[in-house]
Amino acid sequence: MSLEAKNISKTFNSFQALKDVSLTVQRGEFMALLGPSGSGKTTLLRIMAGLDTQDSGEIRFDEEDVSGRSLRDRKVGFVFQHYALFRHMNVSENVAFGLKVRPHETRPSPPEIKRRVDELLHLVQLEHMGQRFPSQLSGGQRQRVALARALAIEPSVLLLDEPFGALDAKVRKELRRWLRRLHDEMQLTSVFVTHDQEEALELADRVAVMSQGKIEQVGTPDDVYHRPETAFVYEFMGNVNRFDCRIQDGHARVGPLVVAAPEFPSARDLPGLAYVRPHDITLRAADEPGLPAVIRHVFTAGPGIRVELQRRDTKTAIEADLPHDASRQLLLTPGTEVSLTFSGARVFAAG
Amino acid sequence: MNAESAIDLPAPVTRARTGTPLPAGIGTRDPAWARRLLIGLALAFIGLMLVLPLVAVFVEALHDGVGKYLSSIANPDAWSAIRLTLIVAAIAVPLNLVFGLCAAWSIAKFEFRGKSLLITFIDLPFSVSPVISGLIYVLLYGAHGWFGPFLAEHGIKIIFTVTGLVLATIFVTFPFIARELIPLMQEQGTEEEEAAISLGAGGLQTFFRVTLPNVAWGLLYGVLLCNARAMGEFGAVSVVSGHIRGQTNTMPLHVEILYNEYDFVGAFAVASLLALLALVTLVGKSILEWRIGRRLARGGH
Repeated sequence: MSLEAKNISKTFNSFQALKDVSLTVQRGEFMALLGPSGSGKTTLLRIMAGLDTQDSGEIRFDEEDVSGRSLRDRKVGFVFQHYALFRHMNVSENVAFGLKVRPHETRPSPPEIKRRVDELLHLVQLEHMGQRFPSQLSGGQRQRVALARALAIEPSVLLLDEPFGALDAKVRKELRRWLRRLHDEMQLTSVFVTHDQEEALELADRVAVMSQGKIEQVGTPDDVYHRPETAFVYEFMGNVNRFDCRIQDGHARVGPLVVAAPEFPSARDLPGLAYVRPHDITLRAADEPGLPAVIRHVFTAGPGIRVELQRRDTKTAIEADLPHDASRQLLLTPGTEVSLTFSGARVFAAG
Repeated sequence: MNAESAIDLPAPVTRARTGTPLPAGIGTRDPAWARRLLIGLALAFIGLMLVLPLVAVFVEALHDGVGKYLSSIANPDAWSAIRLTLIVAAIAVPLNLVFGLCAAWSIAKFEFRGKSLLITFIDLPFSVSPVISGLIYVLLYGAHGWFGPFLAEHGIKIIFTVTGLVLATIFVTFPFIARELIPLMQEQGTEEEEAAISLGAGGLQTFFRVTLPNVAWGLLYGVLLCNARAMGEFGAVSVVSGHIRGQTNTMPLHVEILYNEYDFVGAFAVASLLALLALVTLVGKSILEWRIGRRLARGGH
């Protein structure tokens, strides 16, 4: 089922959580709502589910307006951030809940319910946990019970609020891949909320980056990471260095360096900001042309080397990520004078 | 996924296994004589003030033998007092159960203006002397009270009737159940209810399958306390009762009347029933506390 939010606005007391937000999720798509806390991503998800009501705008399932339909009638699978498992029921009873509360005519028979529950527990790899209570499970297991419970009602849409937020890093990675496989196998349409860029990029078909109640950009992980449309997205998608610059005729000047700014072909001395990712910075010997800087700290960061530098002219800090063999060509010790060049940069107008 | 299947062992078990003794609280250890003195004092005080009176009740009740004891209880007036006490409790407790649930529900699950005022009002009966509670009802519904003439016109009598007893008892015991449920429901929040509804459950299904089971033990605890107080209440009930023997005398009131008539065996025989009720309540309360505590320990949230 496709899912569409159309011109959604929502205000809590005096706080405007969503400002005229529109978003379309295609059938079978795995969409991430990515943003910092307070960006409105959870509010949008809850409005899609019917847990909250929008002030204006429409929610459409397969072109049909469901704004007037209650949470109960929308039949979405919703996975809560803290799982919200029924604590007095064991795992099997939790999963069976959605089937047991159906009206008499549509309720499956007890043996049928049991069969379905076993099937779902098998799907989430918790076959032998049926008799356990939620409090006896680990975080990852609770998460999977919550998922099985949501899938029991055969929802057309699966909505997940920070599904991995409360898990430790290792479990999180495993569950992530597993969830993606599940989504593909069951041909679900899924939307999940996260504040973790890596999670969004790894898991989603498309990512909607949100900030202050608005969607900044919607696109594939590749789009939002490599072709950010706004300064916010650029900053939010990873570490970045900012340089004040002047834009002139499609070029921006950062100290002695000139970077391309094709978005501003006819700008005349426009104040701007050049964004450069740490891995787009190259270090050269001090006598070569480039932006003069001094090495302050050098440390190992995973597979590469992270170097903290200071600009000679403005004294601002700069971060550079280098491959691990970079130290062979250059002496990387604090105090060394170097020259910087950029292999990629993106220029936005300032302010 | 070995991290997932690991079950935390409670610390005491580990300690018992390794056999390491608990480290002594350095610097906080009192000398032995001080400990003995304090424990001795506490025990003596409890014995003198709590246990001895309780024993005295049963000793006095059985002073003239079991036969006299049983016949005192079988006395028609005593029977009627017992029956009345049970009736009052049987009406007041369920009503307070419903009121308490409603109040706790609205306070825990909704945001509205005047919420803290409502919480304060729920506590009112705790802070008002029971005699005053009784007097308020006389002032409102008595023959010379605010609604007295209106009620008299319509032939409704509240003061000096069972209705008055029930009203006074409800007032005095109102906070017990609500007070027990409010923190419990607040802590549990609304997520489980939201989950239930998103899975297709209706309002009543959600209440009976999710909300109620989650507060069941706390609710039972509140009912137990409420019931003990409802049966034992003296002050408020005394004011509105009129002490009509065989009609508006509850057990505590009957005890007083018998005592004033120097029928000590009779008084203590009825009192022993109230004392038994207190003991049963105490045991029930301990069991419930143990169960709730275990659930909390197991739940960890």
